[in-house]
Order: sequence, then structure tokens, then C-alpha cells
Amino acid sequence: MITLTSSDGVQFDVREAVAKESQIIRDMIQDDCVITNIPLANVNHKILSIVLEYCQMHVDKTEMEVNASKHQTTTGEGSSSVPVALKVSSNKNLNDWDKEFINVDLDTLYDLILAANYLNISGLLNLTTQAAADIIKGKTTEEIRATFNIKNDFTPEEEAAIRKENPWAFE
Amino acid sequence: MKGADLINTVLPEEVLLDILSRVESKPDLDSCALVCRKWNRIDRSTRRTVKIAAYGAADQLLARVIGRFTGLTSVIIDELVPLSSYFPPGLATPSKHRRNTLSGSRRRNRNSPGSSSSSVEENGTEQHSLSDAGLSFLGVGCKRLEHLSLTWCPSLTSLGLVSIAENCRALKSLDLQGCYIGDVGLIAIGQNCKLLQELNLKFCEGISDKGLTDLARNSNSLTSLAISSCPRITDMSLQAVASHCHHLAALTLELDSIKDESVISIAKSCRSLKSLKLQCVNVGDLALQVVGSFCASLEVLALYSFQGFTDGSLYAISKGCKNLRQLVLTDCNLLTDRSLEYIARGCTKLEYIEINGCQNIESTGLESIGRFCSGLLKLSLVYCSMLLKSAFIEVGSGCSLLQSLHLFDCPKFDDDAMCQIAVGCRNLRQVHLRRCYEIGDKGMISVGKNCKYLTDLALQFCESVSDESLFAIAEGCSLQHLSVSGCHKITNNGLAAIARSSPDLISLDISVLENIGDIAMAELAEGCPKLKEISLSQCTKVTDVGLTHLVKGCMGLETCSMVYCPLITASGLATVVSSCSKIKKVLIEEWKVSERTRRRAGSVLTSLCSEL
Repeated sequence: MITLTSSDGVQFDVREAVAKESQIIRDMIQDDCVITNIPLANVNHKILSIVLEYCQMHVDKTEMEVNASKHQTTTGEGSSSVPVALKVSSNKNLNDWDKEFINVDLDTLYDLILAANYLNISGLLNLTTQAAADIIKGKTTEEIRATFNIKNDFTPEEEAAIRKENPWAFE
Repeated sequence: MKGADLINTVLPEEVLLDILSRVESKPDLDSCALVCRKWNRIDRSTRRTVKIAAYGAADQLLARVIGRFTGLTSVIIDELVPLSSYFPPGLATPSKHRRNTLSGSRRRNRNSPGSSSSSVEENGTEQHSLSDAGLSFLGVGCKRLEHLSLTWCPSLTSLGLVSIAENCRALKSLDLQGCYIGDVGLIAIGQNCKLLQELNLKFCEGISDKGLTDLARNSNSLTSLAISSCPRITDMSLQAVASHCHHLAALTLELDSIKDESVISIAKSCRSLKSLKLQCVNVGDLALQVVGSFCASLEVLALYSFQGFTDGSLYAISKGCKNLRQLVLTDCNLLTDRSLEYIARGCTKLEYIEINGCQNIESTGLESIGRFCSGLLKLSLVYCSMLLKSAFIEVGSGCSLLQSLHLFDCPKFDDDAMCQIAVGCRNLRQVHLRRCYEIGDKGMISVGKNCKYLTDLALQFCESVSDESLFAIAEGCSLQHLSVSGCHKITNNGLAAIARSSPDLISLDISVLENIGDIAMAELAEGCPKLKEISLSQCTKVTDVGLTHLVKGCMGLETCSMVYCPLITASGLATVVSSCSKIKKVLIEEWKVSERTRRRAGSVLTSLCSEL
């Protein structure tokens, strides 16, 4: 067990495997194997609990798959197709779970991106940045500005010039 | 913090860069580039792919694009891309003359290489297209280029290609289809671009054995090669391919000059061959027998020939290529049902089979496919006049995973056969039938009842189909694509049912329907807001009023064909062009285009030739 302390002082006790989903925690533990309490100065308890939920789920699923393939080799059924099917279905479930997991408001999404970036959790960073990209897709410039509260800092002349440049090719 | 711009202030720039690089389509990226200065700057450094037209002021356009985007890795310059509506001031403006003569005159240029550099047309208008200078500029400006596609660029010669070869050492794929490039350019590519994996030399008539041999010697990493209509390519250079390109996985040859030996050598030395497509009159059974013995990993086989292949070929394939997933047989007239029986029993992983005009293939072959290939996903039969109902009954009972069915000119395919397939293949997503005159409402009602995943339906010139079919389809399925071109019996009522039940309809072809009128247009406007493509050609009852209704609801329209519609006038056209901001292509008689419309949307109008 490892204790992770959020920026606002809340402690989370998690299994080492779960904490090690984060590359920086993995590096710390490898550097010094007696570490049991890690303070995380940039993540508050609300976001940390969501991040840990993600790590927990992904560790559980991976362990389930490993067990399934162990089962396959110990029972000696060789090329039996059952574990493969199981693996496929668990992957599918995980994708569905991810999709549900990332269905959060924009402020939480930013916090999750920052936490994933800070803790270096590649799966979570992929998931969250892709979610942000998906929000952008299919929107007009004005809709993007409105969604993200971005101020238009072009002069009208600059904007007109870029607009004129844009249709240089079709899809 | 509500109302604050957090994405730009809180996220580190590299994270924002990662997010924007996941936005892939050009319209989305163009929207992003206009959001604010920071996003504009990021877009300019992260945009990877551009696609521009090969004609017009291609050199200048390319230069501007390279100037704007500094991280390009993929550049596609294509004759088929519609001309940009943006023309930098001072450059040639698009003339209607060029649009009209586009494909015809430029493709004819293939035969007169001497006149290929920036040709002058009959009336003296200078025709621009990508030149060697433009290509050299690309080479110098985009040294990280990995994918380059230059299709039907008539002015290009080896000179430009040498410049690409010397500058773009990371090139992985090169498509030169229809370019008059010579051996010198190809040799330079082989010597400089050691990472080259994919090469398309279709219709590169300037290339000879010398160029291909030298390239093969240097391109050990080549995995995909396509050559067609290169009269100076013979067995000699293909032997070189066999000796040096051991990683070849995909090979397409459409060459009358080569013999069995070339394919035999390649089959023996390229054991990882996965895809083989042959249209070579002098290649036959001998070659395929060796393929069957050596290419166990073959997954895709396409044979186009009038007499090269007999059942012996397919027997060899069925014995050796157990991983075959796709089989295309076009005009292989010596093949009989036994070929399909061998394949059905030997290649049970088959997912896709297409038979086009093989006149000796009758019913029992397809029956075997139905019996043994339970994983079949797609079946396409064209001009198979001998196929009887019994064949389709086997497919219906054996291929429950079937998703796609294409039957063109299969006169014996009737309602009973359709019912069998509809009941047995409930996963059908796509059904395309053309000129299947025995198909009527009974078959389609069964499809509507059983195939709830169906999203793409085409019933072209299936003249017995009436509104009853559309009622059943509307009831059971939610369509995205529908074509009922030439189904005379269909009226406004049938189409209204579709419009009311298909909120996701994207494309609709109702050409040659005499009973469709403005009411149907109003229904479409009401029910199908996502419609992008519509063909109304020869809908003699649709008027300008109908178009006015249509564009009120279908504002995302991109393509509209309305040729031979006597009641549609210049004003109807103007309505479409002015109401639909995304319109890219309109097909209409030249004389209906008013000066004002031409000024407004000249570049999107594809007028028919003036003699029509």
C-alpha cells in the first residue's frame, strides 16, 4: 500500500500497482523502494479521487486479462478461443467505461488533463486530450470560441485575410 | 472562474498542441485557425496534410501553402480535387473553359509528352498546372515529407522528381499515377529515399525497365507496388523486383507485356505477399499455381482476364492460400462453378467475394460459398445472368453475418431469393440492386421487416418496386443513403414515408422519377436536415418552388444534380447556390447559369458540356 496526499491534505491509500499507473510515481518508487507516502502538490482531492478511479479500473482490467491468459496456459487448452473472446469483450467494456468516465464538464476535463500531464499517466492523458479534441470537432470558429470562452484577438482585417486564405483546397 | 478562457491560460502549450493535432479534418482545422492568434500559430506549425488541385495556379498555391504550414508530412496534389475558389490576386482567374475541358483535354495530353509543359489550349488560354519548379519548391520547403501524391500532373518531368528525391529522404509513399515521369526521376527516388514503402506507377508511360530495375535494386523496404499501362516495363524489371524487394506485400500489375515468369519469380521470393491484383493477358494458370504453393499469407486476390485463368488456378489457391479473405474475379470466362467450389471448401475465412461477368459461373459455385463460407461479409455479383434462385437460398441460410449485398444485372434474382436473404442475413447494412427486374415489393417488404441495421439501400432501375417497398423500409430501417433512380412506380407518398423516418439521411438519388414533385421536396426539407447529396436529374415534375422548399430544411447540401429538369430554371439554381453555404458541386445545363450565379459560385458549378 502507498499513501498519496492531495494538495489539500486528503490522504488516499492505494495499492502500489494502482499508483504505478503514473510514470512519475513509478520512477519515485524505483529510485527509493522504502517510500510509502507521496505528497502530490498539484492535484486536489476531488481530481485525485477521479484519477485514482481511472487507475484502479485499468489495473483491475489488466489483471483480469493476465489471470485469464494464465488460466488458459494452466488448463493446457492451448489455442482455445475462450480467453481471446474474453479479452476482446473486456477491451470493449473498458472502452465503454472510458467513454462514460470522460463524460464530465469542461472545468473537470481541464483539471484531469493537467493531473494526467503532471502525473504522467499516458492512457488518461490520451483519453482526456482526445475528449477535448472531440469537443472541437464539427464546430464553427464562433462555436469554438463560445464553448471555450476564447476571446477573438484578431483585428477584423487579419480575420478577413485568414478567412480568405482558408478555401485553398477541398477535402 | 466561469467565463474565463481556461484552455489557453491553464493548459500548457504542448498539451494544447496535442489536443489540436487530434483534430484532423480540414474544415475543423480551418475553424481552429480562426479562433485566436495562438491557435492560428499552433495550426500553422502542426498541420500535417494538405490536398490541393493539380491545375489552376498550382505552383503559386503550393508555394503559399508551404509558406503557411511548416510541419507538413503529407501532400496530395490531385487532378480530381475541385478547383479552389480562392485565387491570389494577380494570378490567373478560373475560367469556365478550363472547367469544361478539364479531364478530356488533359488526359489526351498523355499521348503527346512533347507538349506536356504548361500547354497552351486551342483558344490561346494558358493552362496552368503543377510544374517542375513548383515541385522543387515543395522538396526544398518540406524536407520532412513522408507521403506525396501527384496524380495526373501533366507538366511534371523527372527534373521535379529528382529535386524531391534529393530533399525528402524520409519519403515513405509516392503516388505518381498518370504523370509523365521518366527513368531519371525514378532512379533518383530509389537512390535517395531508402525508406520508400509504397509506390504507385499506374499510367506512368515514360518509365522503362531501366528505371524500375534501378529502383528495385535500391528499394529493399518496398512493400507496395502498382504498375499499369507502362508499355516499356517488361519481365526484365519485374525479375529485379523479385530479386530485391523481398518485403513486398501488395502487388498490382496491369501489363500486357509481362508473362507468367514475372509473377512466378515474385511469388517465390516475396513470401509475405498479402495482396495480388493481376490484369495481364499473358499471365495464367502457371503463375497462379506457384502463387498457391508459395504465398500462404495471401489475403486478397483479384484476377481480371478474358482467358488467362482456368479452374486449375483457383484449385491451387484453395490448397495453398488458407488466409484468403477477398476474392475478385472479373471477366474470367474460363472459370466454372468448380473454381468457387474449391475456394469455398479451401478458403473458409473468405469475407468478400466479387464476381463480375464470368459467364461460365452458374449457381452451384455460389451455393458452395453459401454452404462453407459462414464468415462472408460482402457479396458482389455483376452481370451474372446464369445465377439461379437456389444459389441465393444457400447464401441466405449459410451467411448470417453478411453485411453488404451488391447485385447488378442478375436477372434471375427475384422476390423469393430476396426474402431468403433478408430472413437469413439480418445484419445487412447495405443492399445495392441494379436492373434486377424480378425484384418487387414482396422482397423489399421482407428486407424492411428483417434487416433493421440497413442504412444504405439502392434500387436502381428495379422497375417493379413501388411505394409499398418504401413504406416497409421506412417502417423498419433508418436510412443514410437511398437511391431509387429509375423506379418509375415510386411517388411522393413513398418518398414522404422515407423522409419522415430517416432523420439521418445523407444522400438521396431520385433521378428519372416522373411522379416525384414539389411535395416530396417539402417533405425532405422537413424530415432530413442532414442531407448532403441529392440527385434530381430527369425529375420532370420538380420545379423552382420545390427547390425553395428543399433548401429551407436541407441547408447542409453539398452536391445537387438537376439535369434535364424542364421546370427548374436559372432562378431555382440561384436559390440553391445562395441558400446552401456548403455547396461544392452542382450539375446543371450551362444555359441555365445566369451571369450573377456564375459570379457568385462559378467554381462550384460543374456544368454539363454546352452541346447538351
